[in-house]
Amino acid sequence: MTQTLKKTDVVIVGVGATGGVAALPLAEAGLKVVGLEAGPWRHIEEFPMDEVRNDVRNYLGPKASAELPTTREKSSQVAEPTLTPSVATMNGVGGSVIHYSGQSWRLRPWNFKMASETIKRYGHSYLPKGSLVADWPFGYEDLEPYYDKVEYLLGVSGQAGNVNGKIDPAGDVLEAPRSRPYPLPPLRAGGYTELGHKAAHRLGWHPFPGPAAIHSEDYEGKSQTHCQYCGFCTSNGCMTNAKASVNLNAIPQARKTGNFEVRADARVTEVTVDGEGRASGVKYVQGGKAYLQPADMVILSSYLYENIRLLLLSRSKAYPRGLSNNHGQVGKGYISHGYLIVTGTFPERLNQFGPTAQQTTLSDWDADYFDHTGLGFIGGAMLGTSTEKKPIAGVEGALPPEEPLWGSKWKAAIKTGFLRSGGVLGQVDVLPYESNYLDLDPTHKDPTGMPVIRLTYSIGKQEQLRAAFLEEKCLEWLKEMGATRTWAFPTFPAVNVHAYGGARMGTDPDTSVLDGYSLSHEVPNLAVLGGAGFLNTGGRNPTETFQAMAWRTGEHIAADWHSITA
Amino acid sequence: MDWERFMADPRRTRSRGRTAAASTTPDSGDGRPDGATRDGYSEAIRRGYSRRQVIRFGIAAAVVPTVLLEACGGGGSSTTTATAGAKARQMSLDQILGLDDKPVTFDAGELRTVEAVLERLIPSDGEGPGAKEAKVWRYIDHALAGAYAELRPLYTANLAALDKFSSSGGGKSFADQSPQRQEAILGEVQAGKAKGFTPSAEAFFLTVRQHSLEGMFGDPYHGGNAEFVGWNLIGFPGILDVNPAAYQKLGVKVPQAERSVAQFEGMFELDVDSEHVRGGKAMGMSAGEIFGTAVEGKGA
Repeated sequence: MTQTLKKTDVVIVGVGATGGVAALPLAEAGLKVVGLEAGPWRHIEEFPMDEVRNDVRNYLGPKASAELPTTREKSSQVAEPTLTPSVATMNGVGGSVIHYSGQSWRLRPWNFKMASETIKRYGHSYLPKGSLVADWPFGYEDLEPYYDKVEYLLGVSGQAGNVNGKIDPAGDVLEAPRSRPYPLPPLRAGGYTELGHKAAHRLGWHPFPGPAAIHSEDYEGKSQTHCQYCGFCTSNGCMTNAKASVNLNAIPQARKTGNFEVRADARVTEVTVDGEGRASGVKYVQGGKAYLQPADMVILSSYLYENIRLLLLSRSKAYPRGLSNNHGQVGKGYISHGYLIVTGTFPERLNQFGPTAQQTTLSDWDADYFDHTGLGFIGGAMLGTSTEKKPIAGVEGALPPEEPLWGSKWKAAIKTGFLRSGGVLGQVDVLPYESNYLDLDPTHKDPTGMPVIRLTYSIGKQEQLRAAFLEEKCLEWLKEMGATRTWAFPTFPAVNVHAYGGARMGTDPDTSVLDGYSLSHEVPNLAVLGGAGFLNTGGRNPTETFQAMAWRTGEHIAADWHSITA
Repeated sequence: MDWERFMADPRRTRSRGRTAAASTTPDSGDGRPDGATRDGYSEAIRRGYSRRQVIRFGIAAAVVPTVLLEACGGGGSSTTTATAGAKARQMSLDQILGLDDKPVTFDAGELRTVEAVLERLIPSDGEGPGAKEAKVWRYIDHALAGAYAELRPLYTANLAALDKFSSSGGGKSFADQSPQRQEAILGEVQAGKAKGFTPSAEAFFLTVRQHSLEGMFGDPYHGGNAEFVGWNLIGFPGILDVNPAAYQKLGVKVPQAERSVAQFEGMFELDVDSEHVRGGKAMGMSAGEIFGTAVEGKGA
């Protein structure tokens, strides 16, 4: 028996990084917003610094772990379930930014114009056959004001390199102009980040401290204390609330208006439509009871896999292949970040106990900051020094692959190697391809009986060339830092916390699902936030871009409320 | 200092058995019930500690964990002396965490085989303690009775398969083989050459190896890494709620804090009425002061 609730203006599915931020301009504009979150309210006491519980067992994400997509490389294969629970998406009011590393980046102007800039500089041959590379429907300059709002909402710590054209060599000299400096100074340097900084300088590169949504100093009373460098950020909430997760800023701020009601432990199962094919609300289950929440506007802001799954599961007379999928575009253009982990052995203790986001980074080998002529690929990666060394993962990463995995020799090697192995990490651009897509798995279901998402995913020649090129740069950097023995792990996971595509933005409904404000072409009162709309990955963490876009979408919906919901 | 303000923050006072501190808490009306935390941490703390306590790093007697004194019959004094610190340490970590050596799920035969496998994976040798001292078996035993219960049948089947493989052709069971022979057998299991395993010998090997790392280097709260032997072996200092800049310098030998997350009182339940906080002594200390000796200088 489904209980129909009182209609609200906006219903937000997933109260996390994007839903939490989008709620703010909507609630502040006076719209009544209901946020449905599949996970519970989360509390600081649930964030113990425990690698087994957090990293190994993904304690915070049982729902996400139970519905991980299946994967295969080609459509001719049968997809296999993803067994590891270590894909770090979680459930709870605040979402996965509760337990992310807190790296808070802006994409680069080039990322938004990847197709046209590539053609202009290198010709059509640099856009590989079968790729779906396209310009975004908006540019960096459109998003800049929202990046700025997000950075000041969260309290991002960082060193600006370009404020309104004024270059500061202490920051990222390659970054596009920003309207203001970061609200907080960067996280402090550690011995290892200094080592990386000096070495990059000697190589003629442009190192700077990476931006972090972690308070280096107290910020408007939003954290209980600033970062204490405990080194247990990732896969865990912050034990002092120094990490600027949206449950500490956007969500309480939106709730303060009295217009934002959050319902936790409420799992949405379907988006409903009216006779004219407009979204009319959502069905959800909470405490074993089924509800229908009617709304004038529906915003999907769960993790990408869940957003796409909800679209595909929401079949109706108007949308027999799934919501907003009458053009067959839902699921297309799936992309997943590549990672390049290059590690070296050092003569002394590196003591990299601290936050992942406490890092020396550089943009020299990202986007189009270097000439790709003759290289056979476009794009690149932001490179950064790795920290947050935890014992289990640190032991696993301490030795080159040719070393034994167990026994006395192994033990002797990790005994010294744990503290003396250090790495640099690249977040590698991956292009969208026609052959990579998401759909519903025909056999595998989650514990509630709903089919999970199936990924069909493989990388192209460009990815291999890009990773090989970047690997050389990482090795060069590590050797300059003093590493002796080095080894590299390029990895292109299919299931990923940095996932993109599936509801691509664009101007043409035949080739895209969403418009430039993340609103559906087919269902004008439906928005899909997060990575699903992305047309390429960019070479750095996506969350701040998700959040800037969410704010822009929320503001747009509030401003054009009557035409969007008419 | 900020840390002092944090610890003294009235928002951190306990409310009906739950920290009311976090601004993650809905202010009202969202129907989130009060109740127990969602895992056993608070339970562990109740088992190990009294409520009136402020636990700081249990090293160098910088601050005496009052509760340990209480638990050891020390009378709940809040004095901070090296003698008291030594007394406090008379309570073993197992006692603090409420752990004992009775297997929960393994039977005697399985335990013998598992211990023999773990001894080969992480031997006790001249380099230092191994799986045995860390009680890795206990980590796996507890995990299979809890978080990894779905893997219990895999262990049941494959421990039997290992013995069968070991004794095939008239040989001994795995635990009765010589260390050299055990290594050779495990090598065949790792390489997938051993027969009779589910779903495969390699898969089982990798599972046990992964679990052995978790048991050796995971938090002692989960039953392994007993007395922090795993962390001390590799130089992981333990759980630090304040990690001073001095500890991140290159070449520095960071003191072993020997601290489990379950001993980290600050975030779970803080009693702001405690004398330590009222007096501002413990919480007002700099990180270096908390650690007493601070940084020990350059290490090898």
